[in-house]
Amino acid sequence: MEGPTPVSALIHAATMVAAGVYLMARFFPILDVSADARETVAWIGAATIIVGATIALVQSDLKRVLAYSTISQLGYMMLALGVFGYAVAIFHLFTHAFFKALLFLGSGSVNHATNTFDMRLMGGLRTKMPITFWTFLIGTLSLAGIFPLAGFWSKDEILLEAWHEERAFYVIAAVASFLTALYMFRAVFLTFFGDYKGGGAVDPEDEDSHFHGDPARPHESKWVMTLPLIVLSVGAIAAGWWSWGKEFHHFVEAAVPAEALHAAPDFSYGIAISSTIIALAGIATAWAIYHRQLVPAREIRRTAYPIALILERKFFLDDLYERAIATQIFQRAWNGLVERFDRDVVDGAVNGVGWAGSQSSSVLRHIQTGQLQLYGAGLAAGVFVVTIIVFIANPL
Amino acid sequence: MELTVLVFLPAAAGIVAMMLPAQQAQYAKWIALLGSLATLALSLWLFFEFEAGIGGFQFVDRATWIDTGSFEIQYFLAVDGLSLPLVVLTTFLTTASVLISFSIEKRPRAYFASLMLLSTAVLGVFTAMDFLLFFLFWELELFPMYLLISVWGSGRKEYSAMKFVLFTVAGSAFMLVAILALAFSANTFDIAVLGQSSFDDTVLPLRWIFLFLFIGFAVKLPIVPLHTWLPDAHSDAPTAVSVMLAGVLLKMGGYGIIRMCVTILPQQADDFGIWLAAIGAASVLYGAFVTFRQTDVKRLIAYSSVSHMGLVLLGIGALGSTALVGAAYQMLAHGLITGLLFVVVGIMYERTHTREIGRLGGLARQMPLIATGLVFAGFASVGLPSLAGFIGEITVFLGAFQKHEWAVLMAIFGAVLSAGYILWALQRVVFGPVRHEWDEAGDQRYWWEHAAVLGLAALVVLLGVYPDLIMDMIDPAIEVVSARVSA
Repeated sequence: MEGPTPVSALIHAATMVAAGVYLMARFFPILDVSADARETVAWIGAATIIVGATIALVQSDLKRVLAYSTISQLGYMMLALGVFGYAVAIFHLFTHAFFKALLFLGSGSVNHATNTFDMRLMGGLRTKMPITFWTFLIGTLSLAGIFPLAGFWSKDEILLEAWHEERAFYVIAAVASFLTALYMFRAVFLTFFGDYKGGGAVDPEDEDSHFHGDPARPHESKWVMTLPLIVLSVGAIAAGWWSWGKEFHHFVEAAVPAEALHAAPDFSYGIAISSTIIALAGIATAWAIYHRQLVPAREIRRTAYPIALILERKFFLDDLYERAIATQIFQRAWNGLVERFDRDVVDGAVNGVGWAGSQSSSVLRHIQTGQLQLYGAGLAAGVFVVTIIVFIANPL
Repeated sequence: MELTVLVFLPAAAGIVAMMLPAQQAQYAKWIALLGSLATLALSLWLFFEFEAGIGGFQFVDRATWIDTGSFEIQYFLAVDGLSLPLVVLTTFLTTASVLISFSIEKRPRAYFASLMLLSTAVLGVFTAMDFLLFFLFWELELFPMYLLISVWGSGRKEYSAMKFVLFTVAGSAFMLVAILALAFSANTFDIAVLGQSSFDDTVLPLRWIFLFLFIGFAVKLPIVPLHTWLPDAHSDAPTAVSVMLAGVLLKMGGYGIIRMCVTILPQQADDFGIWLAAIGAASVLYGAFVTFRQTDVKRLIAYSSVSHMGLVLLGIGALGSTALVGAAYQMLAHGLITGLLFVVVGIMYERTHTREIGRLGGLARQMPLIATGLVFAGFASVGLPSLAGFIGEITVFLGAFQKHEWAVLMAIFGAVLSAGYILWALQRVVFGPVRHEWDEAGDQRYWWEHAAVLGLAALVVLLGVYPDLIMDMIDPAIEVVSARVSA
């Protein structure tokens, strides 16, 4: 997330998902034989969808919205793996790559014009950056799962698999697709609609800044930035059509042995139409809150303050991991304990042996007086004692 | 004859350097460099002349040294696939150590003479095939080390030097008892013969002999809890000595355990295998935990060495041929990588005169080359695939897993921790806000620094992408050992 935007695009679109979801998909034989493994993966996936989507809902940083969106979408893929949808999981990975790379590069283009990722400093960029806006909108619609864009097809199939396997998963996934549309269109409205709020101030001291130009007068990026956006938006529109006639499924399932194949359920108009309605409802809600401000976002935040706080603090997960576990428990308490043991007990014993040696010799030093009489007396006493002992041991 | 020349060439160069007239003391480093380069060339020649496919010893130099009638103590040098890579590691790191010492100004003649004598002692340890000769070289190494730390060191240098010597000598006392007990039973000090004998009538139970030998070597490795001399010695030793200490001196311990403990007493090694693996895994974890708390860069690397050398012991404890090969490879990899780490840290110290992590930071901007070196060496230490450390670690894990699952799981966790402490240290030293204190400190700039860093880094990559270069040599030698264990 903190990396350069093209790197974020690559990580979120391809490498990170490839590492996790692909690895899990490769292990389908384990999922195939173990219901426990499937259930665990599916529930973790379902939890990830909700956690990612709800956190994305309250971020003010455009890139963070996209980053938490990726987490949520990875949850969809994991959920699919947990309900026998190996091919669907890979399919969603495939379509997601197009629109998520597009969205990240779009956020980079916006940053290039405004010197910020903070959406509170943006607004109104629709007219100033038309290419960025339209491509970003295509990516957003695709991610929200609007027919006939790529995201619609892959997400629809995940919902379908979930419906057939376990209704609870379907409900979670459907609720989250409302949230997906909501947080993405929140970002769109905040960034591209309304009035421009001036962008980020340029810090001349910051040696790492590459910003050139004037954030007060944003402009469309050059073709080196807009061309990739256009190319990727073609994929964000059309990549889903590959599933026509289950072509993509056959492609993936060639790698799965016949006995492990679970026939994908057939396309269902009911699921498709209802999920589209859910997504449209999300868009409408975003429009009402963030564009028309029928219900101001500030009001919602105040009313549901505890929930807003939990979401803004990311379910306190960062606090738990960074502060509690890494800093306090691991570094301060445990490593500190081991280190003190190492210093005081282990090395203390070593130094203690040295100390004992020098102490005892400084005591024994006193009998080395150099007086012959004393040595002679000691000798005689020694002989006497030995003689006594010998007599006691072997009486004559 | 070749090995005799190899072993004594550094010492000869050291003597020449020592005898230079005072007004020509500045040439001492050139003589040391010449000597170490010649030794390196000779060792490389041996490396390529060595017939890798077969087990057994080659380049034998053998003569009767002390003949008492009932005992014959030999002057017996030879190498096999286990020791030859360590010999090359030693000559290589000796050269790097000489290069990195080029800016030494305090008593250069005595300094380079000590460094070269150290090299001879270590080469002797790796080539001696008579147990008493081995012991002689083992003890000889203490003398230059004591001088190097206590004269050219920093901080509590006398304390650290004395601690180093006392630890080793205490271990050696046990070792000598074991050597004598073995020799009285088998009537020979010949390691090659001892490595094929069985012992029936020993003055001490064989278990004790094994343990005594093990203690002698384990101090050097070092294992927890016999390790506290290492961070002290490292933090107070001059850079080149840290390089030699971490790079080759620790390997004397691992080499000794494989060559003596396991080969001579395979039955006892098998009995104690689980304990060795447990101590190894414990060292990996314990070392890692303590590393997290270090604030001095050199102490940090020292404790990470304790952790990484624990893997060597874990591999030995599994006793299978894969695990033993992994242990041998891990020794080489750790020698190069930690050597490189100390070289780069030494260069950095020359510029900043501090090793406190808290005072460093943002060096990437002021010292881009040093920072690059640190990041590279750090990644290698973490065990990044395609670098040498990865091959050693993965081979140990693969070889030891079936026999000691739990120990391997602990060690894998330790490997994860190593990513944590190394990356965290890099982040604090190399990245972060720039400290203007170091604006004028300067970057790596002398040719000898470049030579040492690039040479070591190249080998780290070479051993990471082409392990067979060494594996083909180690394998047959280890086969002999593991066959004896399973017999």
